Amino acid sequence: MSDVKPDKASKLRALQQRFIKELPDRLDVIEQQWRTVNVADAKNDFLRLVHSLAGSAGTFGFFRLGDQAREIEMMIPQLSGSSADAGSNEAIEQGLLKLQELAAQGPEKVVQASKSSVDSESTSDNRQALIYVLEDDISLAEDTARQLQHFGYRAEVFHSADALHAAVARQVPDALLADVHLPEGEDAGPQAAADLRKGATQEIPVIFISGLDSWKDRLNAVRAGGQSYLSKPINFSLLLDELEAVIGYEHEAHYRILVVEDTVLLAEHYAAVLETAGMQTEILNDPAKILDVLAVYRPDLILMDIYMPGCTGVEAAQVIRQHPAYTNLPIVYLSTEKALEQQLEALRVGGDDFLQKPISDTHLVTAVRIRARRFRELTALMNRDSLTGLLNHINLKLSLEREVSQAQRRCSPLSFVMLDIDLFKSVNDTYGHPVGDRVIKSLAHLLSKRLRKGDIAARYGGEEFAVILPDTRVEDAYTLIDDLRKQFAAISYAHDSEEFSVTFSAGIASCPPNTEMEGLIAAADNALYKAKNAGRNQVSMETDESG
Amino acid sequence: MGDVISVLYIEDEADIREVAEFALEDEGFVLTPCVSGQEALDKAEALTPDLILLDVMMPGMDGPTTLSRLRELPQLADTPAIFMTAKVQASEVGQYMAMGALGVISKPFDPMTLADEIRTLLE
Repeated sequence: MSDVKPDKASKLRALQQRFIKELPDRLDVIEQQWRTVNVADAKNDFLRLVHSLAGSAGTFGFFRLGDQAREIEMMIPQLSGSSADAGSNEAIEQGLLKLQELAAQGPEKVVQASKSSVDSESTSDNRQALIYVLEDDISLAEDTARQLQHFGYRAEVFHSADALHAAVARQVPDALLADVHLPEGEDAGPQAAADLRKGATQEIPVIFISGLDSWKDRLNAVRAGGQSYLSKPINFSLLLDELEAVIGYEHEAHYRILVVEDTVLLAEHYAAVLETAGMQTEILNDPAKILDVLAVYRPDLILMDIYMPGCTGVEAAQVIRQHPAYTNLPIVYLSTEKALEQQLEALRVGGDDFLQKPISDTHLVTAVRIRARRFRELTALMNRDSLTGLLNHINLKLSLEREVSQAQRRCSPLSFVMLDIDLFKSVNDTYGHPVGDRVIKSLAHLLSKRLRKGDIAARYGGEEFAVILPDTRVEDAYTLIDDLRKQFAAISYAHDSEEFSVTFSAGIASCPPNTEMEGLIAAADNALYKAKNAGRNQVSMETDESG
Repeated sequence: MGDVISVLYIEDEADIREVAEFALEDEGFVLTPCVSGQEALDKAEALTPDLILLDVMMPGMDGPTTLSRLRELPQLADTPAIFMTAKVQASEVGQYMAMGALGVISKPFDPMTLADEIRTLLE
């Protein structure tokens, strides 16, 4: 019933866009009304404007802005109209400022196209992030753009702040890379970024680059809202890390929270609050089912009531902790329990935090978010290679085993690629290990940016990588990996004013014909060996007559 | 989904009106939108809607006044009415119910579930 038809979603999205666009004007009018509020009937107009904002903002995804407008609305009747009313005036002024801030932050919930229409545009998962480069040095700008493109970003170059402004008006980029010094002035970059922020309805992350590593430049960059500051010459692997950090926010969103609470209404309230903050939730009213749900839902955190029928939250936590797989899973209790003794006891047997009811929405969201993020980070550290952030050897094998059996169950093809950087030892010997690490990281970046959603990349060891390509026939895998090979070879590394590039070789095997994970790995390894023997910098496929 | 439900819809705010219109129109509702209580009164003579859906706070004639004026028309005397308002306080809800409203939908409403919400009230 509540399924969203694609055209409906796009219509709603259009309406949301319009609301966002008109919001600044609307707030301006409210401000103006406020300034004349003591004049005659202006109070009623002001009230009506604020009231309608309170009623509509949430519908367009601005929940907090709506709440804030509501708060202001509640204060208005108390205005006596006399200027003696300093307290309420002050509070409303503050509230109006808050409205501006919340508007600038953009909607908390962006209307999404419905599931079916997302599926039909398979490219949307692979949407390339758009980076604007503001740099007056034309050759440096072009070079930067080219490097960004190698790593799967779309980059557009602008040589002046005016050109940048015009472009942002057309399309807002995912991030801005700006030189601090421009012909317009020695802090023209930060100035341009600050101007953009003022007019923008959504945050544009900014990374500054500067030829001078001076306190003044850095301060200017910070004041203009720069997320990061890099000195020239640009270290690209550092830049890529920064870009990942500033636009990779979607990785951290959507924490999965399991709410265990026997009071249905309360559970739904907590779930709604957390979902408004961008998390996913699952509600469980019966603690006896918790282990079943954990296995399927794999939450990042459990929010649990202490007093429930059947068993207490503390007992449930102990049962959860009996399972080694859940040793680190954060458990946060919610209770009206005030006695410190009881709270400590609850924590002693396996809880991580204790939140007291009633709890404000902000407090709940913050407490849950911090713990869930920490859990994600730790899990990532344990499962991933520390240099590249790709899966490590052990987790690659686990994933491959799962993918192979899934492919067989669904009778769909699967390709597996072993990939090795050519003559890597000589890179290390010639340029040193830090440069070698940069090469490894850049290949990892390339893999994670260029592969499709669902593909899995891992660092197999040393300079060796592995890629799992579900639903991919060996010929298609060849096209994909050979493309990557060309892109990787085109990346140039700078070291001591010397430039060099590196290549890789790859071997591909698939299932069918292989049916077992071990056989698949061996076949890919053989194919890799063949590519190396044939002169490197090439991709080869397993052959039937090998043996 | 049953028969089409005709709605006399009164809301002064253009963007909200638009959201509600498209949120309901695919769901088996046919709306006669009005931007003010006065427009509703002008149009209502010729209408026999299944439902009156109206905003509480509007410039000029507010929602409760509009409803009581509409109720003076014989064909609308018993038509189910639902208020939509940003300010839902228990005392107010009671007051609207006493005026013969079927229920109150609080704003901001979720466009994805508005149709279901109304249908639930009508059941």
